[in-house]
Amino acid sequence: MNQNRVRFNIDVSIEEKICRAIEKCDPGVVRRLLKFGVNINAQTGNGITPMHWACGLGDEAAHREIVQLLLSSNGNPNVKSVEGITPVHIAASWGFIGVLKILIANGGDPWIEDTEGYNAWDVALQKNQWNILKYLASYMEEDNGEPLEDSVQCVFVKLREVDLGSSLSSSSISYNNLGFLGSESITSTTALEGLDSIIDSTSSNTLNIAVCDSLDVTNASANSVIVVEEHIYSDTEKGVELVEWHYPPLVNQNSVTDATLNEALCTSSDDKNSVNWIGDSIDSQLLFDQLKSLGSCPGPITPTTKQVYLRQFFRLRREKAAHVPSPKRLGVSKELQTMLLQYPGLDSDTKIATNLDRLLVTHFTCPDPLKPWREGLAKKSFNYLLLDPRVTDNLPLNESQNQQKLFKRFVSSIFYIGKGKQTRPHEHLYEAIKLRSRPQSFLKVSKKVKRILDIWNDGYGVISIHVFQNSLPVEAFCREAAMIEAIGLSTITNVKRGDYYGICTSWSNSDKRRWGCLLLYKAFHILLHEGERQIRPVDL
Amino acid sequence: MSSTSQKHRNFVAEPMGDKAVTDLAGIGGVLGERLEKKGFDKASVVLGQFLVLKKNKELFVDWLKDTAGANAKQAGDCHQCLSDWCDEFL
Repeated sequence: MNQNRVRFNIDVSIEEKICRAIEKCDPGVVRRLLKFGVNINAQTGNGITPMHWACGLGDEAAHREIVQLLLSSNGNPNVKSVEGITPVHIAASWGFIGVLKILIANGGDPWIEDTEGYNAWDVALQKNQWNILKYLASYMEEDNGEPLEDSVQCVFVKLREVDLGSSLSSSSISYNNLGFLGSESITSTTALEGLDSIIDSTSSNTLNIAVCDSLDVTNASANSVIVVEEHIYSDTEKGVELVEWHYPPLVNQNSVTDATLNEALCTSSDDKNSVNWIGDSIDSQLLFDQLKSLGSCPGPITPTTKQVYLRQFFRLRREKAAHVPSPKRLGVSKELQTMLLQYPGLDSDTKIATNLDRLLVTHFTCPDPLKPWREGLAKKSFNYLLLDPRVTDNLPLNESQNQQKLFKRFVSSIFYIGKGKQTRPHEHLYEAIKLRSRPQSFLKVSKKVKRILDIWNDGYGVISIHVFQNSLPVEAFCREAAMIEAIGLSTITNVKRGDYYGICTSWSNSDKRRWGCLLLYKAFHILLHEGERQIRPVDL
Repeated sequence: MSSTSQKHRNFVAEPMGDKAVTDLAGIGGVLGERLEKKGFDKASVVLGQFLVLKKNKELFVDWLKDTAGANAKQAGDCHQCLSDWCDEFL
């Protein structure tokens, strides 16, 4: 720093002049120079920008005024120097808490890393700037999704056993005691291996699922019974209470079987190892019962017959699945149609879409804080898809089936695509729940609400998948718009097309649709890994 | 089943006793050897498997393909052979 200060006298360009004015803390001169149109986000000869200069001088009122001045003339708080250092880094490393606060308030991001991989926190730690660390820690808490407000609560209530056969209406036994989960867990290495390989084999966009939990639950569940987690979601401010039933994706042993077997069949049938561990990890009795329920009349399942019966089991499952009416969808974009026919779509399309996705993400990583972005800059938005459980028929549990068919079913079950805020994740259901208590006003109900009420009346809960969390509101709006465009407005109950912002306004329509397809594909995988969450009113 | 092989007729003609696995219709030298390696050294052991699979053709064929690498014709012949034998002697 000091070296730079000496050197910058040599060549006096307008940028250097402004640096000198900044150093002298002379807002008058700075303001005048700014009127000349100095680009304060451009690196000067010494590799840093006037923004960096301003943030490293001090933490007095005068210094803060200069920083504020620069920020209000399009100064970027996240601009990088030659070494990848941002003004936020500088303020943090010198312990200039006032400046840091101003920067962060104007969109500064303390988590940007410099070329050596250090972010502002690391830098402050190196310099023992405790007040900075303290401030960043509190900022971090807010940043990681503000803790649920008192009015909105999501409480884990209990595990319920649900009979698969009679779906949801059966009498249920509830376990209030969670202890049994830990104690009875099966941790046989074979089963774990199986799960690992499933997880490995999936695409990169999966959410981490609690493998151990599902294993535990697996053991706890009886043959044709699955255990669902019940959460109560309550928003006292709006007076809404909803119950969420989470069907863990791997909860049922036959789904474990399905997936493991599929794996092995895919890899190669003469791979002795895989065949062995599959054989080991599946309970013969369970297989027997499942075959019976599928209408077969199996003989004894022994080590020599197990493999054959397993295969029969899958054949029967597939045949059963073939009866699911194929989605007849008019209005689906041609990009999505190609994807449905040639799952998972053309390579070229996927490549383009992936690039677009990356572009968008980088574009919105540090949005220009001075532009008026719709709904602000808090990264607290997500997209949600509402699915009809009557169509999905517990999709994640049927993971063994042909992915193409599953994807078709997924697409045809979507009836609404929207954007939500993390503070009220279930706001989209509020309207329906209000209407439910006042049935006389049914006349002017939107298609979406009607569908939700239909689902509830049939004794199911609406499946709501939340995807692409922690994004900017505008980013989420873009995603919403792209997905709607891909799936076709006429096929869902959305009333209007979405809006595009920022960089994607310049994309061609076919690019937008391609991107939308990719997003749907990702959402599909997220659903497979998270399991279904059915949400219903408490009194249903 | 319009026509059956000589091997089939021979097998179905008498109780199987201790006959080798290669005496079954559809099981030649190669398949016989593979079966023997997996413990199915006698025709009666294969019969055991056949019975455990409840004489179900689909399952038995599947099993034989899997265990010995038989093709559909070989496995089908073998199934027919055991099935006919059972009709006669069981």
